[in-house]
Amino acid sequence: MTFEDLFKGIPGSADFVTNMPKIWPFSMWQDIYAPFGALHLVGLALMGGAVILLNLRLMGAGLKEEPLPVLEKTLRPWLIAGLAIVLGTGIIIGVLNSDKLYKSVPFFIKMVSLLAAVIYSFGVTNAIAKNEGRASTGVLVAAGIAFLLWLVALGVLGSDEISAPGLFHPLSAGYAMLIIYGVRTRWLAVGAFALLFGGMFVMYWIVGFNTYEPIFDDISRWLTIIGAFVFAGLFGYEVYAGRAEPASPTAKLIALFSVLTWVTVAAGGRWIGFAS
Amino acid sequence: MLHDFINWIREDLGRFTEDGQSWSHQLHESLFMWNIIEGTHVLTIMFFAGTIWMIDLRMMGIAFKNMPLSKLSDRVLPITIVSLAAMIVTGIIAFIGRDPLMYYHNIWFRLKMVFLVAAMINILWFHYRVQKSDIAWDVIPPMNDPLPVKKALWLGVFIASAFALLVSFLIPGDPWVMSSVRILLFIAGLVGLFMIIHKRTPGLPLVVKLSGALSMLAWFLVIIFGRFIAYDWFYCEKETTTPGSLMYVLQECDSALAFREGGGETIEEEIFEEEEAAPDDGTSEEAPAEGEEAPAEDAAPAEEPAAPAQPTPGQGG
Repeated sequence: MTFEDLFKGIPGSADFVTNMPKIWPFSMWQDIYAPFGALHLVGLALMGGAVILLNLRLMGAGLKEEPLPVLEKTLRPWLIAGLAIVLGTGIIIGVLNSDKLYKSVPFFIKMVSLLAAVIYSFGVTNAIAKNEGRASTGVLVAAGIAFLLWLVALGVLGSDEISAPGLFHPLSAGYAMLIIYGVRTRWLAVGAFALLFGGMFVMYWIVGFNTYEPIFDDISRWLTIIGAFVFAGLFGYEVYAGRAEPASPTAKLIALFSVLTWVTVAAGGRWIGFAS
Repeated sequence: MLHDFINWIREDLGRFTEDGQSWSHQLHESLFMWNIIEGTHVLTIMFFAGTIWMIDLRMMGIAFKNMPLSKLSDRVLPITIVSLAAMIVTGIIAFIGRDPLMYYHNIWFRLKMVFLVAAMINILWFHYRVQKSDIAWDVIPPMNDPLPVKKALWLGVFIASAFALLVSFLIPGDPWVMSSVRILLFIAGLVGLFMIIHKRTPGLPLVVKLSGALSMLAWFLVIIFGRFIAYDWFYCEKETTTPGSLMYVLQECDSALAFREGGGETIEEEIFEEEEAAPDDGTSEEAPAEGEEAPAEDAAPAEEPAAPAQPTPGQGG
């Protein structure tokens, strides 16, 4: 699925996209395109710090002593600054590469998950934090919409032959979150990750990283699926067993999905280059 | 000597039989492994730089003003350190797996390493020297009335530099001159910004704020230069990198070109030549990842000068 597939029925859409780099002032920036790409990463990192710390706190980890509304207020300027840099540079990069991105599956994944991530950060997690961990019905509806959008992005990612290995990124980020947050399952998560994905790396190390035998692709695919189920089981147990903790199970799940959605945005961006 | 060691990594590390391949060649030709590792390297930036910058902001007295620095560090630094470890491990594998000689003779990679070392020295300096007196400033003391006139002066420096920097992107001119002007304006803006911060938090020692600012700047530049590695602007093989020029000297192009004349090739060229030689029958199952096709200078047709500078395939995005 690409934006080209989505908009090909609209007359003139392809020509419009092709001519986008000629629009002023973008046309002036073609020779200095590279710094915008680098700043895009800086914005993502700045935003990443704010997203991770707030969502960990929503899960009852990290800066636990800081009241949620205070932490949200402290992190808000950096989240907004990060997003402004990401969007500002992203628009420039997008317009200058419009034709390539219009036909790119990872770009579609990135945009859908970006929409979901923005809903999470500016309509869900901030509202829950301001409300000291409680979610109103409206917030839950917004979280549901964001979750569905993220699932669409994951579905497209998993079904695209070239980009599917990129699923490793949100999955490994999920394990990282579990290792940071998990009280009861931390070491199980470390063991499962090392066994499954360390095992996959060692397998390719032994048979050769440049092995193209389909059997190894199948093994990798199944290890990823098993890894996803193990993660879901461990995280589910952690949330279930921690019901008595100050953070609610709903807030914990929303916080996890929010982080993983941002990681999917970043992974989509990275795989644009790999899949082009 | 270092050149020979890097070449040994590229050609011999992991090659156990005469007709076998080194890990470097294997990773470069792998379908997805290098992409996954390099992608993970980039994504750890979110965890690493994002969290260390929050500590740096607290050191400068900008964020988390009501939280003792020691408490913030205790909670956040474990995430930062684990992310740094993951970033270094994936970075080393990505370096091995994508023509380490290309990295070695790349000015941006060298600059990245310089600022990486600078950031590490700053961490050691802070940990072993500055932090020893942290009882006095772990909690930010109540703010005295800052000097409004001097603050306004530095605010003016910052705004003027930022505006001039923005305008510079709309003025055509010699790339070297314009780049130098932009770098100077960027530095002026940073100095102005730092002085505003300094005036706003008189209770925090200058050395603490300086360490935080250096850390932020160093990691910022590590990210920026890391991204620039993908661009081929100053590759030794390019005609524009003339013998004796600054880039030629800084990248040790003498040894790179002598190596090539002696029969050595970059992995990018080897892959490119193999693909050129292979008949295009539409079957691509056994080919490397689609993004790994040709060196960047061959990627865009010459008749399309308007196309933006593209990173080396497989490294863009």
